[in-house]
Amino acid sequence: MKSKINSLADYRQAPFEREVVISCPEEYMEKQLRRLTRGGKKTESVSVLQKGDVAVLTLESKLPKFNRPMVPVTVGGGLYDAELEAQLIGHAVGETFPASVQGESVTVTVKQANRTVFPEPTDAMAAAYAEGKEELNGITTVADYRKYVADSYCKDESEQVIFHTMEEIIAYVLTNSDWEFDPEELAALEAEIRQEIKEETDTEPDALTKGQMLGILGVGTREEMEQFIREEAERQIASQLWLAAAHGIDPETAVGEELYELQWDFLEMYVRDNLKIEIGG
Amino acid sequence: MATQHATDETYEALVSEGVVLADFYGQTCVPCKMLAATLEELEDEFPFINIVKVDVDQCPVTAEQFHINGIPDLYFYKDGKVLLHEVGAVDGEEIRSLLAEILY
Repeated sequence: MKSKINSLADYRQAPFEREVVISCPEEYMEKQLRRLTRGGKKTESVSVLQKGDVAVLTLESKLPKFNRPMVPVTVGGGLYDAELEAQLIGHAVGETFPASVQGESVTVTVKQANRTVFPEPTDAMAAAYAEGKEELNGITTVADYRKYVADSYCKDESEQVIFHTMEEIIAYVLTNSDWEFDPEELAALEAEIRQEIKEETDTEPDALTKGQMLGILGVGTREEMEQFIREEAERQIASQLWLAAAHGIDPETAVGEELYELQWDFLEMYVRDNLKIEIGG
Repeated sequence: MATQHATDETYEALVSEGVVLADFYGQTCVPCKMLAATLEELEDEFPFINIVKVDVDQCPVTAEQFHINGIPDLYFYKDGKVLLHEVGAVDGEEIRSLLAEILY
């Protein structure tokens, strides 16, 4: 590589949250418990709407999306419109009431409402669900299953916290170091990134619509896309230079593959040694 | 409507009305099991969406007709028309976002 590091920030100086408490949210636990009880679920008619109920609504408004008859909506499900769904809670079947969406008034009539009800999980259900599943071997009670769910959740979350902390540290070092990017290397990498965008979208990057740019790159204009491509190329080169330095490899003589095979193990070890993760109740 | 299991004979009828997610899967495919769990949760939350399971080994004619080369393969239907399909274990958030577009 012809690009160089002029000065490298010390990753050990990067600020990050040193103590994190993780606990399994009750909502997540409830969803996992449904795996045991799903076979016995029932649908009941209800008179007053709560979060999670399915309502059939007739809507009148200037907004076309909210001017329709018999629209099925899960209250709080977020598929239709979170703002409107929040205003449904507490209203009764047969009631017509004014709501507001995006500053426009919407007249809502609740035509029907149903609730899915799950039975209480039993030890027999837990044992039956666990049967034949290697990862659930030994689970015979609901308490065992709850513990398995909570432990798995906390383990996965811990890994996520470590991963995000590593990302924060990498971002700190890339921002606070001084890099000398070789124009040819940058141009070559930018061309590769453009090619990747083209392969993903089947469209030349310069011909992407605003929606495609927002969906794929998270930017809304061509100028922002150019900046994104440039920054991504710089980030990739800087990462490789730092990795090479951390592993004692001379990037001047290293070949591409060799550089790309380098890992962030040293950083992961540093994070694991310096981040206290407490598992909550 | 609860999740329904298609055969080559029933497939067309099962996807002909409403919003339907047709899940082409295999019994031993691990990503298929992940997607199946996601679809079960979606069905709990949005029971007005119909889910049709298509075991590619049990429905060879349908799998051939749809050129299923990778599983899981999820087809999104509205009133009998395929609007889009996604190969791989698509996550719940992505499916919700696609459903929001199709439903409303």
